[in-house]
Amino acid sequence: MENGRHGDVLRVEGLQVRYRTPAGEAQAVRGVSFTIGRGARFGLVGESGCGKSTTANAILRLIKPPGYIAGGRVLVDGVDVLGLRDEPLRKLRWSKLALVMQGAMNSLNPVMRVGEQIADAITSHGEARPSAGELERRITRLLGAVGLPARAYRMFPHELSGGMKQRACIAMAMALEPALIVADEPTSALDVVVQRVVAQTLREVGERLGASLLLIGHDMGLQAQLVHRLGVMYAGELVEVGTVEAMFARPKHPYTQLLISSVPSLKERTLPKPIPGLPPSLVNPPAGCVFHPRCPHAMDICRAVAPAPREVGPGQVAACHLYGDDPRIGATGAAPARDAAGQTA
Amino acid sequence: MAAPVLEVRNVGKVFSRGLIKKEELVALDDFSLRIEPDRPTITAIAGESGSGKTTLALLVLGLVTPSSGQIVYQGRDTAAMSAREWTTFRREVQAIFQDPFEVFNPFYRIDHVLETVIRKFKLAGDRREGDRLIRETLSSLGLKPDEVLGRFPHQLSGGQRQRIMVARAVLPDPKVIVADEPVSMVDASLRALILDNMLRLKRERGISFLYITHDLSTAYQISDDIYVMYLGGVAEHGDVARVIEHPRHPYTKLLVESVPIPDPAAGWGENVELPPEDEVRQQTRGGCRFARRCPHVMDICRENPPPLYEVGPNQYASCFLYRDQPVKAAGGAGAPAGRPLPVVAPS
Repeated sequence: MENGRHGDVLRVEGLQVRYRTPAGEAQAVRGVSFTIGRGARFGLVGESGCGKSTTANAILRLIKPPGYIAGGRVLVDGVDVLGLRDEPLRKLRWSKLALVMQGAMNSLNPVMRVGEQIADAITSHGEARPSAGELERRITRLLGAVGLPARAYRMFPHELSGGMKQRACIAMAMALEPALIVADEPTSALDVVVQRVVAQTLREVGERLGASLLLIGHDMGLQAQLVHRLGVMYAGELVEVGTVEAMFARPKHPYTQLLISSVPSLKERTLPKPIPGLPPSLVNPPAGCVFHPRCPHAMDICRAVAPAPREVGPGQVAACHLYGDDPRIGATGAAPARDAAGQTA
Repeated sequence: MAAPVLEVRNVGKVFSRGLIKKEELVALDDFSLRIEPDRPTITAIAGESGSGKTTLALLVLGLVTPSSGQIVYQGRDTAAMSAREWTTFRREVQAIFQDPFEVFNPFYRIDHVLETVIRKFKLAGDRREGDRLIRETLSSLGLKPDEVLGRFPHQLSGGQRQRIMVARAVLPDPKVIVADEPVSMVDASLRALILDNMLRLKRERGISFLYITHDLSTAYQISDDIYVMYLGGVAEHGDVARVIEHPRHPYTKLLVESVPIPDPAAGWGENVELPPEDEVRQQTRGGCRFARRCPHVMDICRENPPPLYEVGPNQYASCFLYRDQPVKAAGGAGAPAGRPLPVVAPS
C-alpha cells in the first residue's frame, strides 16, 4: 500500500475499533478507509451508533477502555498517529490536529479568562514560545477571525453566550494553525441562526488557514452546506463516499438513498418516511452485507458475501452488490434486474 | 360561540433575581393565544433559546404563575379554579417533555408511571380495567405491551421511553397536550414516528397540541398554526404554511433562511452577523425587540413596540414594515391593543 499520497492531510486505512462488553466484543468501527486532501472538507454521517464519533475519536487517539483500536492505520500529514508515543502525540494534537466537540463550549475552564485559555493552548503545544505581547496580538486576531470582539479576551466563559463560547473553542482549535480540524457535531446544541454563524466561521477560517475539516454530524442540511465530500457510515462501516453533489443528487447505496429521502426540509409538508427496522447488533453483525436486513433490494448474495467498495460514479464509491463488478456506471437506485449469483465481492 | 378550549390572555412573566439590586428578566411579554373548540389543532410555538417558549409551556401547565394576564381553560380562569376544577384541568391538560431519560425513576418498572396516572385520576374501576387501558394505549402508539411492561427504564430504547411518556400523557384522555421539544433528543427515524403519533392523536382522539420546538421543519410538517417567538414576544404568527413559505417578519425570514438546506446546490446565501448577546438583551425595552438585529430598522422601531399587523389571511407580523396594514383586533390571539403611534418617516 502506498504511503500518504501528496496532499492528503488525513489517511485512514482499514480502521477497526472494538469495545469489550459483557455480551462480547462490539465492533464499533469495521475497516473504515478514507482520505482528506489539503484544505478539503469531509463529512461523516449516519444514525446514532453507526461509529462516526468513534472514528473521529480513534483519529485523535481518544478511545478509552473498554474500547480499543483493533487494527488499521491513521496517517496525519504522513505521521502514523496510532504508533506515536505519548509525548510526540501530545505535540501533534493542537499543532497538526485539533478537535471541536459537541458542546465544546462546556469544556472551557469557568475560572479562566478566554484569552488565557487560548494562550495556554498555544504555549503548551506550540514549538516556539511567543512573547506576551505577541501572544495577545495573535489571540485577539484569532478571536476576530471567529467574529468575537477583542474584549472577549478578558471575559470569562459565563459572560459569553453558547454560540460565542463555541466560536471561542474554534478559535482555540485554530490557534496553532492545525492541518486538520475534527469537528464532532460542532453546532448541534446551538440555535439555527447561531449554527449558521458557527458553520460560516468553520468554513472561513479553514479556507484562510488552508486547514482541512472532518465534520461529524447527522444533520444532512449542515453537511450539504459545508463539506466537499461526504461519507455515509452504517453499523461501523463506510458504505458510500462521494462528492457532496453526487451523494445528494445520485446516491447509490440503498442506505444513502433512504437516509437522504428521510431528511426533513422546509420544501415538503409531509413527514419524512423513517427507515424501517433497526441497526444491527455490533456484537453479532449480520453475515454478508451489514445493511441487508433493512435493505429493500436485498438479494441472495447480500446475505452471504460482504460487498467490497466499488466505483459507482466519478469519485463515488459504494459497497453494494447492486453495482456488481459491472463497469457500467450510472445504474439507478432501483435494483437492476440481473442475476447476482456468481458475483464475487 | 363556545369558549376556547384554552386561552392565554395577555400573559406576562417576569423573573427577578438578586437580593439587593433586583434584576428583572422579561421571559414572556403580553402573550395571547387561543385554542378554539371547533376542531383539534397543533399549534407550534417556535423560537430559539431565550424566546420564552418553555416559560409559556410551564405557564400553561400551571407550573409557573403568570406575573400578569390569565390562563383560561374552558372559560374558567385557572387562578380562580376550585380544587375540583383544578383536578379536571390537571387531567385534561397533559405534558410531554424533552428528555426521555430524566423523567423516569430508574428504580421503578415503567408500569409504575402508567399505573400512577390511572390511580391519581381514578381512570379505572379495578386493576384489570387499568391494565387493559394501559395495554390499549401502548398498542395504539405502536408499542408492544409485552415488550415494554415489566421492564426498567434502562432496558428500553430512547424511542420506547419517549413513546411511554406519550402514552402516559394520553392515558387520562386529555383535551390538550403541551409537548415541549418532544423529539429533539431522538434519532431521525424515531422522530418521524413520534410526530406521526401526535398527528394521529389529533385526528383520532381529538387532542390539541401546543408543540414547543426550536425546529422549524418539524413545526412545518405537523402544525396547523405557528407562533414565532423572539425574546419573549411574538414576531409572527398564523397559518404555518403561510408563515414558513412566505415569512413577513425579518426575524422569521432570517430563521427560515438559516435552516440548512439538504441540497449542496442551494446555498445559504450571504453571511449573517450576530451582535453580542448582552447588547441585544439591553434593548428589549421600549422599541421592537428585533430592532438591534434588523436589516430594515427604522426610527419608529426604536421608540415603540410594534403591534401585530395583519399581513395576509391568517398571518400576523409584529413589524412596522407593515404599518399600512390593519392592526390585529384585540381579543383575538396576539397583539397588545394597538396604541396610537406617532407617525415617523422611515429612515
